[in-house]
Amino acid sequence: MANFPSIVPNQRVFGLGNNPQEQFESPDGVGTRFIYSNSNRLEQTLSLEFIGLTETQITSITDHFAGQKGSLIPFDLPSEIWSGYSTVPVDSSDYQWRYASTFSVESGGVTGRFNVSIDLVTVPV
Amino acid sequence: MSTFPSVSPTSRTYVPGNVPSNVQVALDGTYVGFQRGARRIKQTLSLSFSYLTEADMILIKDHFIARKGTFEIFYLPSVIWGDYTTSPVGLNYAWRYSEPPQIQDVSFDRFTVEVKLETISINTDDLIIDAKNADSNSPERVYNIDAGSASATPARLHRINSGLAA
Repeated sequence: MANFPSIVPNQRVFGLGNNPQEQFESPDGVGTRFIYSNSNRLEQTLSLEFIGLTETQITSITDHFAGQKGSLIPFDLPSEIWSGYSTVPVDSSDYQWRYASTFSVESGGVTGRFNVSIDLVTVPV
Repeated sequence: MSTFPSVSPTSRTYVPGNVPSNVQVALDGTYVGFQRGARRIKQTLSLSFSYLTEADMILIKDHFIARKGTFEIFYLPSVIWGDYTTSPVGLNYAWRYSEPPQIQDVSFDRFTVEVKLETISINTDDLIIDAKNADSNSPERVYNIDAGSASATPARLHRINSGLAA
């Protein structure tokens, strides 16, 4: 399993996910809820934006994506991804990450520089 | 019951919901409405917390995790309603997360958190649970369920004795 490349993102949005559950509602508005796990939270999301990467850095990300078979194989994130947090909000002993979708590499407006936005989602370990 | 962290929001959008009802409109425009319940449903509250410190952001994150995501209900502290003199939502309603909060980095050690809540109707007026002076040697709990003025003596007393359990 290969960690994600150690590059500090320019923008980061973290979604907290949710415990797996089902909800039913009667016509008068009274609801019943069933929870399927007290500990696992599904669909924690992390959107990362990298601006002005060099070709070497972009290649490390695209190579990592290929190595993980796209969105198939989960992986860990290096501490650089959480740069700015004093406590990483997602414990690597509980969750790994995988690509939620493929991504597009765009020209950075300067020769040899590239922008990329990457969406990740957690997988309970 | 749990209470949401006492962090003042930057912006707040309250939607007062609606009475559960079913509306039928005939081809000629005749309107018939059926009320399905007495309490309003789907009151929503969208809160935005801008430029929180990591410590305040963690208060909200940990509260969401402790509530098992959108599963369990909680109350809101008065600070959430800020400039309201009276909270527009009474204690007959609790709240739950309607979707997972989103945490965005906006500066070093500063985070913007978006939270969306919706109400759950509860019957706080109907149930009195009194365990204030419980003695460990007589662990009887009295549940007094009072249906208001439904009859001359509407109160029902339920005694639950755990048999001197430690």
